[in-house]
Amino acid sequence: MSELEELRSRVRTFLSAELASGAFTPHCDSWLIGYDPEFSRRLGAAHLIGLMLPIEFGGMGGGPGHRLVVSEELLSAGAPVAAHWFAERQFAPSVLRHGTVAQQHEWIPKVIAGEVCIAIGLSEPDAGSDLASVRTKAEQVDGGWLISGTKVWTSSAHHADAMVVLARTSGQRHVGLSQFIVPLPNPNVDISPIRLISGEHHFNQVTFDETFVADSDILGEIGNGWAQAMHELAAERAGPERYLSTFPLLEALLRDLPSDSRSADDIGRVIADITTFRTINHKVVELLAAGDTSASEIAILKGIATAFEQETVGIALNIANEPGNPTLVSPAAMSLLREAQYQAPGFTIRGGTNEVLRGIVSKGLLK
Amino acid sequence: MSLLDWELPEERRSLHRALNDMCARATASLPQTLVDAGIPWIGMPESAGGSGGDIFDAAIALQTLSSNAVDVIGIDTGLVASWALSITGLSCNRSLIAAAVDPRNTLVSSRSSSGDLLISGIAIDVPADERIQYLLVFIDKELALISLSDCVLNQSENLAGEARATVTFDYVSPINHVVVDSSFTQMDLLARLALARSIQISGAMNNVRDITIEYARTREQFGKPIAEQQVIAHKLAEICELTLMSQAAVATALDSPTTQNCAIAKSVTGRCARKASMTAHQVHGAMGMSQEYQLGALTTRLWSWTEEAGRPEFWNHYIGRSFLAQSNTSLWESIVNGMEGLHT
Repeated sequence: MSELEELRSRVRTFLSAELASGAFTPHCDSWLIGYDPEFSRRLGAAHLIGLMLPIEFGGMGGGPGHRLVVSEELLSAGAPVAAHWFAERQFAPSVLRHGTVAQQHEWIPKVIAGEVCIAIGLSEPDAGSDLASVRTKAEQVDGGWLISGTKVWTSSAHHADAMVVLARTSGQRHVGLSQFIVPLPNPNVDISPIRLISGEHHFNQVTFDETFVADSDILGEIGNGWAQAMHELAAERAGPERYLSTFPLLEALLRDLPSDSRSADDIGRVIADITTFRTINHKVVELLAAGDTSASEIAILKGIATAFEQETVGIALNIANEPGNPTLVSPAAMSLLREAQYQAPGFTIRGGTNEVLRGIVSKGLLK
Repeated sequence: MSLLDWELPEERRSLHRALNDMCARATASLPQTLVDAGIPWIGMPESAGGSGGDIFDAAIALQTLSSNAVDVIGIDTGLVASWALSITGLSCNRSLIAAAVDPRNTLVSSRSSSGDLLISGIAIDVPADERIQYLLVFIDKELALISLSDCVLNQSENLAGEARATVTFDYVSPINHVVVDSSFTQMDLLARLALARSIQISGAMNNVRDITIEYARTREQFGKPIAEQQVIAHKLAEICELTLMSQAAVATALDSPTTQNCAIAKSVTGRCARKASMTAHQVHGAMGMSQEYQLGALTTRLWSWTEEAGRPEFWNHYIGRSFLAQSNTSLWESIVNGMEGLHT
């Protein structure tokens, strides 16, 4: 067995034990809506977080292939990974790249242990696709900065131990932006829910009212926030969460499907497309690990994969409504289907809309 | 241009460049020049009379010729026929062979009074004309080589003007045939041909992408290049998406050419080709409809190849039914195991 095969088998053993003990129920979009801090701690204790993070902090020091194997196993099983997902995916790598030694020692071991939840503050009421127009500002005072402004669509802020805030430190559009680590909860930070069309609370509006942040909580260089955020966004776009969000639904629906199902063609198409996305994903994480954050392939993968995710909801509806077998769909599958329907519009919006992504790709062509 | 834009090892680039150069100097005699240069036998061991090289070399040849919209009769000899023959131990020396394995064929077998295998029926879309020496067919667990001169050839062309014959077999006795291992089926041979067409599709799409981008950058309307219009820019991005997807599907199959991965390649490249060809024409406006312009030579090939050797719907059905036929296999395990060793 190769090292990666061994790792995959280790994740599967962990997940089987979790499922057998009823420790979690599979969810669609589990990296966003599956908040379960206890699960994250158990995963951390099993050394399955921080695959690419350095050994000195308790990580595995592995390559992009290691993290990809673990990520795709967790997501395909619908495991509740939201509590640590953003921390591992973009916060820890960013702290490792740009943070101070003190920040690295403070945060990275806790991320690897699955003990911290991190929120990422990018979008604002007037800055969505046009992210560089953020207006949240940070004003320098003695020993630190005062942050004022509002962030929206901030996942998990209500659970988070800290939030990375992109704020304006000068008037220049891109180089006037900087990142700050704001510990939460904080008396000068107001977090209120933005309920989704499902009625569920995963997103928040976060308001800063002259919130003090110490100089020691600046992430990276003042004025380098845009470049740092773009690096994080590349990591955010380059993973299997862009084609596996609905996978637990498909898995649940297919479990009891008769071999003469009329959905065979759709199933074949799903297998063909996911197989191909995996090949692209493998290449893309290698590009990213080599430092190529502006590769068009990253934007392309997220665009085509999320469009596919949306189509799988239609495929799932076709399967669920196959005539002739009223007991075909289990209550668990039905619940996953509703989850997928509620979440589907967001697939092609979050992390950069597909229109923004096509803009990135075409800009690369016309340089 | 490459199998995947970001990875074509340097040692493989020379073949790509050499073929591109030959195509650039194209004359009416190019097809014969390519045959004389041994191109159809790339991927067939020299010991068996071939030109040597592995599956990647054969793929680079197919892809490069296709991106130039150049046809070579017997081009499936190296990647498809010699591979099947090597499994069975049959040999054919340096002949040009076409595979007659379309899923719509109606071939049946019978036995002569002396017990010899006889083949009858009709094979369609056979990439053959009189220059082909042998046809490769799969029938009743047997792979058979048939001399084309023993069949009735009704010569025709596909949309792109490539030779595609309807071949009638009337109690034809193969020149050679062998019973293959029961794990090898007609689908395995068909999938290999589908891989060849997938590689061709991917090659032609690479060029469709390139010329469409170039056209949009040069063609001016409303006082600026149309590529600067957001709607057009997004169409160019869409073509890049479809091209990358096709490249990746082909790369998956070349790394591990199982029947499932070959089927996947054809499903993906065919579906992407349909979309990319229409979008490319839309960007070109009326210009792309002109026979003089190069786009049509590529898109007509894309349309023909998409329907040949099992159309995407055929392969989707095959992949889906194969999955449903396995009991107690999760979809995820099926996907991971299906890639057999890739990404473990």
